Formats: sequence, C-alpha cells, structure tokens
Amino acid sequence: MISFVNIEGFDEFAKYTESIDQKGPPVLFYFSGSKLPDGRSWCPDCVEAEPIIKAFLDELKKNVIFVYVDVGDREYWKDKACPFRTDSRTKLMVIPTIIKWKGVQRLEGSQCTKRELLQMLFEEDD
Amino acid sequence: MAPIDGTFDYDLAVIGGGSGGLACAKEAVNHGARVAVLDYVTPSPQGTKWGLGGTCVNVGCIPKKLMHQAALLGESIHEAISYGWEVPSPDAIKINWSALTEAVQNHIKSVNWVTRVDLRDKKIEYINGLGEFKDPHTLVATLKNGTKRELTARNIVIAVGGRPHYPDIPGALEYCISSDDIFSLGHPPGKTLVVGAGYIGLECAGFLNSLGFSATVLVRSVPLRGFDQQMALMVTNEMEERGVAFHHKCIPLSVEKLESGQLKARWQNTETGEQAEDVFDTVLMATGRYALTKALNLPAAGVTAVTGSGKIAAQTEQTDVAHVYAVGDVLEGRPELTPVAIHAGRLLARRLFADGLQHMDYENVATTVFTPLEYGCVGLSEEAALDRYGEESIEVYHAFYKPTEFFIPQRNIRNCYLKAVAERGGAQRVLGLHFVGPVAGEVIQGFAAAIKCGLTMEQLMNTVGIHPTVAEEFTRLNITKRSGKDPNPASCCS
Repeated sequence: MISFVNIEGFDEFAKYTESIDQKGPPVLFYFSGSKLPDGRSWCPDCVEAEPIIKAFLDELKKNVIFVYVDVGDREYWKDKACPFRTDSRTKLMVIPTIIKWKGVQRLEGSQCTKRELLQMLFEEDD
Repeated sequence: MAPIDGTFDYDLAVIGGGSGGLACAKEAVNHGARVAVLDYVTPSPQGTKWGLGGTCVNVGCIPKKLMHQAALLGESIHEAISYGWEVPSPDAIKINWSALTEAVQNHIKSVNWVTRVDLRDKKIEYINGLGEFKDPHTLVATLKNGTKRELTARNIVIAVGGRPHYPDIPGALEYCISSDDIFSLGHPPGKTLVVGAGYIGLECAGFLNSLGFSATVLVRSVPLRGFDQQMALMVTNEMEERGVAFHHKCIPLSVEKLESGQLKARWQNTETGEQAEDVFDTVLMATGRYALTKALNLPAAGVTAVTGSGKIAAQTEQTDVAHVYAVGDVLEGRPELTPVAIHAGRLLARRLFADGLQHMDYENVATTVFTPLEYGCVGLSEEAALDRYGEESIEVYHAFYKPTEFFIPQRNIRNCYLKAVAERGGAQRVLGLHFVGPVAGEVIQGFAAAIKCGLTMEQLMNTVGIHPTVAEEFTRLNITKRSGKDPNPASCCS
C-alpha cells in the first residue's frame, strides 16, 4: 500500500522529516521542479521521469510512503545557495532525484527513468 | 557441459565482484558481451560481512585510507595551534570511534549502492552467491538461503581475491579480529596487539596509535618484507617514535580470554626463545592473506595450475584451461593491488571481446604504504637492484629533507628521506624511486609515468622542481651513497 504525500518547498520538507515515524514503512522522497500553468514541470528531465515513476508506483505492491517534493521554480533551484542543494539531509545535485530516507540509496537524473533502477530502489530492503 | 548447440547463458561469467572482476565485467559489456558477476562474502570468523565491491571498497583501501585520514586530521588539529589557531581545550580532543566507523561504513554502503546501480544499468546480471565450477563451462552459485543456481558461460574469469590468514594457535579464530573486522568494529578497539608487520599490520597499528589506541606490533621476521628494507626501517622508526611498540623476531603462541573480557596474548622470540605476554583489549591478526581458490572446485574445470599457496599461475591471466582466466589478488606472483586488478581486468576483456592485443605490464607498478609517515615507491628496491645488476653497476642517490610545513609545529624530520636507485652507466636509467614522507602516494604517482618513459637521472636532475613541495626533493637529488657524503640538507632553496 503506497501512501502519497505532497510537499511544497524546503520548510515544509524539513517540517515533514521531523514527523517521520522511524519504525514506520520506508519513506522515499521524489524531488521535482514545480509545475508551470500548463501542468508540466519547467524541468524537462522531471517531465520525462514522472509518467514512468507513476506507472511503476501503480504496479508496486509494497508498503512505502512516496513523498513528492516540489522544489520550486527554475531560479530558486539554479541558485547555488538553494537549501535543497546545501542541506546535508538532501545535498541535491540534480533534479529529479529520489532519495530513500535515512538510507544511502538514491537515483539521480535519468536514473529515475529506468524501471530496473526504480525496482532496486523501491523493492529492496536494507 | 558446453551446450550441444554451442549457446551459453553468458559470454562471460566473472566469479568475484571486486576490483578486478567488476572492471573486467564492465569493459566486456562495453563491447557487447552478455555478462554475469557472482559475488559472495563468507562472514569473517567474527561474523563480519559486507556488500558488493570486493576487498578494496569494503575492508581494504577505502576504509583504510579514511581511517588514515581521520588519524592525520587528529594530528592536524594539534599542529594548527602552533600556526596560531585558537583551539579550546586541546587535551580534551579525542576520537569518537563509533562516529568514525559510522561515517566510514556509510560511505562504503553508498559505494555498494552506486556499484549495484551501475551493474544493473549496464545490464550485468549480479548473482549474490558463492560460485564454484561444475564443469569447464558451468558454474553453480549457492545463494544465502541455500538455493543453488546454475549458469553456463563461454568464458569464465576467476577474480575471487583473498581473505586474511589466521595463525594456527589457540584462541586465534575465537578471539582475534582481522582487517575484515576493524573498520566496522562495534566498540573502540582499546589497547591493541597487531600480529604481523606487513603493510596491513603497520597501517592498522599506525592509525590506531594516532587515534589514541595503544598499539603493539609483533614482527615475525622483518617489517614490510619484500619492500626496500632501508625504507621499511624509516617507516617503523617513525612509528616507534610515535609510541607504537615493536617486538621483533616474535611469533604469537596463544590468545586467551580473561574474565574481564580482555585478551591475554603470549608470544615467543624465535631468536632467544624467550616468551612474553601482555593483556590487550583487541588482538588483530595481520599475518598475510590467502587466495580463495579452495571453494571454487577448480578440478571440475580442469584448472590445475595452482601453487602451494592456493594462488593461480596464469602468466597472461590465462589459466591452463583455454577459456578460464584469472585476475587480481588470486594471481600468483603479481602485485596485490586494486589498480593492477582493474587494469588487467580491462585489458583481458578487450582481448576477449574487442580484438585487443595489449597485455598487462606488471613491471614498475607504483604503490604506497599509508603508515602515519607514508612510504611511496615505484620500481626496484635497492636490494633487488643490487641483486639483479651488481653493486658496480648501480648508483644510489639519496637525501634527507625537511618539509616546510614541519618547521613551525616542530614535527620530527628524522625519517623524511628519499632515494633513487639507478643504473651507474650512461644517462643512468632510474630503476627505482623511494620516498618516506607526507602525501607519499601523491608524490610518487607522476614519477611512475616518468619511469614508464625510461626516466634517467640526467633527466630527473634537469627537471626543475616546484617549490616549496616535498616532491621537488627528487629533482634535487645529487649525493650518491657511493660518495659517502652527508645526505642531510644544508638549507632549503639552494
């Protein structure tokens, strides 16, 4: 059973991490660029990854919490001081990125579009 | 059996997912081969296990260098004071062992992950099972849950590496740890006895001592056997001056566990016959490594070129069975180094799948021992050069030196020494370079390329140094051992 959570911006992200149940199901964060009025993200790699991830999650039969994090607009992300880049909990270098919370596992950029890699990230236990 | 219609499950099966095996597998896939990698870690006697990547990533080069770095940083904090940094309570500065091991293990785990992602991305099948031969083209992998998986391959590469050897004495297996365990040890090691003075023993004793854990080393014959002995002495002198105790010509007799939980180790001096003992918190066995060929069932493959030590004799990585190869630490008579395994693995894959013709050159491979004061070298030791060419045909240039950064904190310069071993005649081709000092690996690496180009003393002496560095000391060499002149520096800059 996948629980979906939607988060917008860094402050909301930080607040959410404090509420995570350590003994609960694995939490996977998906960091994406925000959506433009036409419904697609300004980030072309995120546009490519999203339907593939959605399709994968539709088939996933595992107890996980999938957290969609809207990182913000292009200017905000491109700034070197963007907290998503600098904060030690995320240290994002590229979007999209999927991070397994409290784990070392992550997928970056085009890795997010590959089913076998999504499988490794979501289906394996430590 | 080779399938009747000649189709195999894989073009290449690699047994061992370490430095050599993975490099070979990835290169093969680049040239269109279908590849499977088998990797399995049998837990150490103390129960330690780890993920994909082999010895280097998990219990070798990587964690070793990180712990060495942790030790150096601890020293730097104190040196900083002499440079004017105001460090509050320097006496209170101590290492948090569990924070250190957690940081190191997290890094290793992220490397395991990236390695697995890379294999999956390249469509290399990774089988987490212990591989053995069923017949020349068939492997059986036994997975953790006991199930067995069979696979056939046109080519097979044995890259199983090695594991630490334990002396056959009471208490060794039950109570002692090895390099397999130290980097993830669940409690601070405390007062430690290191049995063995090869590079593993010395590096471990070195960083343990620098981190604040008292270290004692038992040396059976000589430290760093096989390395230049004059340089080995500099290394151990430096360690002794920093507080590491050495017991030379001593072999361990037994290790007993006391009620307190501590370990009582007994040893014997093989020259005097005298026995001694002491109580330690940890005893670390670093008495060599053995190749993991026994579990392979090599006879089933028809591979017989196995030496007494269990290593595989394969001059060009080719065993005595046509399609069975070997790379890495499992090979007889080759340097047991990650870059050697990687390079040989890649070249082998190119020969197998890309019409490659190049063979691995195992000569003049540079390496570094990461003891507190590091020792980097490339080429022949002085002893090997004397043996091969004779004293009359060799010239050895040498010098002590004083790193600029050592003056202010008044660091010990007594063991900062380097030498070049060269042919005596003509332009004096350089046969070996040896350096004890800080960042020795960084110093020697470039010179390894120079030696590959046929570096001569004439060229070296005509190379202008970068100032102030320690590496430039190689360009300043001008005093020979033969001249008897004092190799101590007058002053810098001249």
